[in-house]
Amino acid sequence: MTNPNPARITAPMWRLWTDRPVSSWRLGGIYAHKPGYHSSREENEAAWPGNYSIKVPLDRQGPADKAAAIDYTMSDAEMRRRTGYLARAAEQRDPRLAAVREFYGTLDNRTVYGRIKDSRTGAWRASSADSSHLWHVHISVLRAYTNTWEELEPLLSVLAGESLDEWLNRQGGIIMLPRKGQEGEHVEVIQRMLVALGFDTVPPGGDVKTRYDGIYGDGTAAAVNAFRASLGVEPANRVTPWTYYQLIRAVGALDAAGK
Amino acid sequence: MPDPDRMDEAAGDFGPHDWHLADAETGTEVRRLGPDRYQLHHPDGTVEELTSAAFDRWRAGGGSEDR
Repeated sequence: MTNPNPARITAPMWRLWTDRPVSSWRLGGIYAHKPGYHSSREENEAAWPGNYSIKVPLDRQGPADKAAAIDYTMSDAEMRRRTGYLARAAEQRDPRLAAVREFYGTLDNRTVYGRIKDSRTGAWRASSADSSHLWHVHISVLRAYTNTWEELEPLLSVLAGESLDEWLNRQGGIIMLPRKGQEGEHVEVIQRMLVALGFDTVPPGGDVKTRYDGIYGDGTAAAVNAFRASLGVEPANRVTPWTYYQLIRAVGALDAAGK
Repeated sequence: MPDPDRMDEAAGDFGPHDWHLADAETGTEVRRLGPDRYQLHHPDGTVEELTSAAFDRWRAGGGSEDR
């Protein structure tokens, strides 16, 4: 089946269906003209301007005319299993859910289980939805990412039941260059290099326990940009390939000098 | 007072007046008639009444083998 509504469904959102981990799931829907993430930002703005799906900064970005949610219809056993994977990932603040705004399903086939967050790394909190979520899993993504497969693909890894380590290993040795808002060991590596070079990731007065916390927050962003400034280049909201190369060179020079 | 963190559909029961697309590829819609009764409306006009167990089997489709 091809994308039935390219005007409203991005190719990456459609891939969340075609690349699903279990072929027997049924598609409950992606686009629907109703308040919330199944419809576009511009439709919500026009018809339901107070809707929660167009409020947070990352929902003010991305395509204005596309849906940002998917429903997977599945059996009771599958509902428990797949909701369990999502719940565990949320509890562990798994970075594979960075692009996810909310999800609903059930862990026991009796009560709806839902979680929501406001940003890539924001804290998950409980949220409620009607009892149709006992038989379909609903997932909304932050609208900024509806057209970015690299941001959506990790969600399928969670739904497949893959562990974070398995997923990271499966990246096949690709260097993961972090950007602001991300967290994980790939951020911690950068933090350790920056600190070794004298660019502290803890801002003045900040908590020293966050120095190598693996979170690309304001402190790490400032350190990255201080490092870039030391080389005469403009700030960036990510570790670019050039920045990474310069970090490796600089740390290598430290080692050569026996520092 | 409305819960600002709630999704688009009202929390609570999905009842006999509520419809939901259950299979977008075929256009089959579902509504819940009671605690153990569901109704599937297929695009060709046929209507199936199912118990919860039968609805579960329908949702299971061709099984749940991982790809």
